[in-house]
Amino acid sequence: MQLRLDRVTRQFGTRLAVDRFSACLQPGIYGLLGPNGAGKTTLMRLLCGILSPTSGEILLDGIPVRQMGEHYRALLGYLPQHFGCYPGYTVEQFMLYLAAVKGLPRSLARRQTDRLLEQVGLENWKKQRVRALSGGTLQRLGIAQALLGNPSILVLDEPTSGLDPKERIRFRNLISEYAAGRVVLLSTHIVGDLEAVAGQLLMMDGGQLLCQGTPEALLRQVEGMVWETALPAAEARALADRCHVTAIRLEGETTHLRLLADARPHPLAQPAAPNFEDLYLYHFADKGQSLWVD
Amino acid sequence: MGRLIVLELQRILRRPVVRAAWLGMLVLFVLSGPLNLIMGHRTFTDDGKLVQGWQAVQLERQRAQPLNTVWTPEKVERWLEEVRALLAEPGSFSLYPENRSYDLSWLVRSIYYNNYFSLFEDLTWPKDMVPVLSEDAAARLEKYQMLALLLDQFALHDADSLFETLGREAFACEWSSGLAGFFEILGAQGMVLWMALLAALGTLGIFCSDRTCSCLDTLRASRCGQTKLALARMAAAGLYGAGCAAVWCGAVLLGCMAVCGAGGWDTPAFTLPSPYATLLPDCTGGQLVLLVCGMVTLGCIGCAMAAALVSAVCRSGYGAFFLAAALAFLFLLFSSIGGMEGPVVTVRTVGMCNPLSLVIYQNTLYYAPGVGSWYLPAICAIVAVECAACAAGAVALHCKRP
Repeated sequence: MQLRLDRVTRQFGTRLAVDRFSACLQPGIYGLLGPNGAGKTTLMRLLCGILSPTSGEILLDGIPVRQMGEHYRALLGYLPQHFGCYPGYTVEQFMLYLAAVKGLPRSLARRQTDRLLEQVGLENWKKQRVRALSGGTLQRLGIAQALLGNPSILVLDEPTSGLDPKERIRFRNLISEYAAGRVVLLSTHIVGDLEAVAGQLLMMDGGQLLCQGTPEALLRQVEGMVWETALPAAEARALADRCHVTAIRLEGETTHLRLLADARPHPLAQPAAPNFEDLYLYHFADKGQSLWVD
Repeated sequence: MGRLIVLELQRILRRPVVRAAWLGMLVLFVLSGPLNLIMGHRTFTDDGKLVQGWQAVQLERQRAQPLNTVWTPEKVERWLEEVRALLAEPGSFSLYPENRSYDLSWLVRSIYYNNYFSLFEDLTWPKDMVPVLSEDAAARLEKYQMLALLLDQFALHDADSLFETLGREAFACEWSSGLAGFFEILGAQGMVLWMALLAALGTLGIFCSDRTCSCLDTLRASRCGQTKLALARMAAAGLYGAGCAAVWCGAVLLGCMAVCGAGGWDTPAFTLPSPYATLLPDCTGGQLVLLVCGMVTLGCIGCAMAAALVSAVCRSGYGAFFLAAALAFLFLLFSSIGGMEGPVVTVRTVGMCNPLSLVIYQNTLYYAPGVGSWYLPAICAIVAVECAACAAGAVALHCKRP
C-alpha cells in the first residue's frame, strides 16, 4: 500500500495552509512535526477527505482518493484534533454508533468495541455518559474510535494531548503494535512520543514539507550543534540572547543551559547528544527570539 | 441504511430536551385530553339535577343504551310521540319572542341549533329565536337531543334513504363511540399544534449537534460519509414526525374509545355528534379518522423535516430554534390559522404549503370536503415535494465540503 501526496495545496482565501506538499507514505508510523499554524491539521483533513485540495492529488496505490469515495473512507481511521462526542451517549453507545457509521456489522462492532475499550483502558467506563468524561478519558475514547474497523490508514491529530504519562506509554505501545502493515500518521507537539514510535518524521512549516527522514537521519542534522554549560545567571542571560536555548535549569547561583549553536558558544560549553527537542528548535525557533523568560 | 436510520432515530429520542418535551406533552395530554373530556362533561338527571364528570358520562351511556339499537319506523314513531307529549305539557317551555308561533319541526330544529349552533356560525340563524326551556323541560329533553338531531336530518334528507344508509341507530353514538370525543379533542388546536412543534423540536438538533459536539470531522471521515448519513437523518426525521403524529392520534383515540366506547367506525360521519364531522357527508367514521390522522401525520412529517433543514443551516441548536420559530411565525401569519377570516382561496393556498397549518384541524376542515377529489392528493403531493426539498436542501447544505 502506498499513499502518495502529489503537490497537494490547500488555500483558505489568500492564505496557503498547505503548499505543494509532496510525500510518499508506506506502511509504518509517520510523525508529523511542525509549529502551530504549520498546516498539519489541514494536511490531515485533506488526507481524510474532509477538505478538498485546491490543487494537487492524493493517490492510494496510484488511484486518486477522491474517485474512491466510500472505498477509501472504509480504509481510514481518524482522530481529529478536537475530538467530541454526543454528550447524552454512553461510551459504549457512542462506539457502537460510530461502528454503524463506519459500516461494521453489528456483532463485529460489539466485539471490536469491547476489545478497543479494553485496550485504551476504558472497559470500566462503558456505561458512563460521555459528558462525564475528563479530557484525557475522552481522548482515549477518540483513539479507540479511530481504531474501529481496523483501518489501514490511521490519521491521529495530537492523540496524546491530555493523556497522563502512563496513558501515553499505553498509547505508544498500542500504536506500535497496530502499525504493522498499516500507514499511521500522527502529529503531536510532545516530541518524546514521536521519538518513541515514529519510524519516519515529516517536518513542515508554512504549509510546506521541510524535510523527511528517519529520526536518526534527522537528528544527524543537529549533531555537533548541541551544547551544555553551567554559568552564573548574568553570563547565562547574555549567552541566551546570542543562541537558541533549548533548556534552562537553575541550581543555586548557577544556571544550567542547553544550547544550539553552530560552534562552541562559550569556552565552558560541552557538546551534548542531540534529541528531538533540539531538532525541533533547530528548525522552528525564530532566529532572533530568545526563549529566556525573565 | 436501515440501521443508520434506527440509530439516528434513537439519537433524536436520546436528547434530553426531546425527552423533557415528551414528558410535558404527556402531562398536557392527560390534563386537556381525556381527563378534560370526562371532567368537563355535564348533564341533567331525570329529576333535573346537574351532574358532571365521570357520573355524567355513565348516565349518558345508560341513556344511550336503548337508543343504540336498530332504528325502525315504529321506534321513531314512539319517540316522536314522547316528544309530542312533552311539548303538550303546559309550562314546559316558553318562547322568545312570546308571540312566535311554532310547530314541532321548528321546535326540534331550534333545540338542535341550540345545542349545535356553533356549527352554523356562518349561517344567519336567528339566535334570539331559540326557545328558552324551563329547567325541568331541559332536563327531560336532554335525552331527546339525539332524537332532535334525527328529526332535523328528517327535514334535510329523504327518510327512506336514510334508513337504508344507516341501518342502525347512530345518533346515540356519542356514548357508544369514542370517535366524537376524538374529534372534539382534535378540535382543541393547541394540542395538535404542540405535537407538530414537538416533531420540529426533535429534529432541530439533528445536524447542528455535530458542530456543537465537534463530531463533524469524525463523521465526515467515516465510511458511510456525509451524504448517506444526511439521507438517513432526513429519513429518521420523517419517521420521527410520523411517529409523533401516530403516538398522539393513537393515544387520544385509544383514550377516547376506552372512555366512550369503540363503535362508530362504519357509521356515516355526519351522524357523529361532532361539529367537525358534519362537513364530510360521504365518509364513514373510520374514513374520517384516517383522513384527519393522515393530515396530522403529513403536517408533523413536514414540520420535522423543515426543522431538520433549518438544523443543517445553523451552527447551533439555539440558532436553529430561533430561526425555526421565526419561520413558523411568518408562515402562521400568512395562513390565517384558526380563523375563517380572509379570502378562502388565499387561506387555502398558503395553508396548503404550510405543514404546520396541516396539523391544525380548523384548516383541515377546508380540505375535508375535497375527499375523493383532486384536492387531497394535491395536498399530499405538495407536502411530499416540501419534504423532498427539505431533504435535498439539508443533504446539500450538510455535505457541502469546506
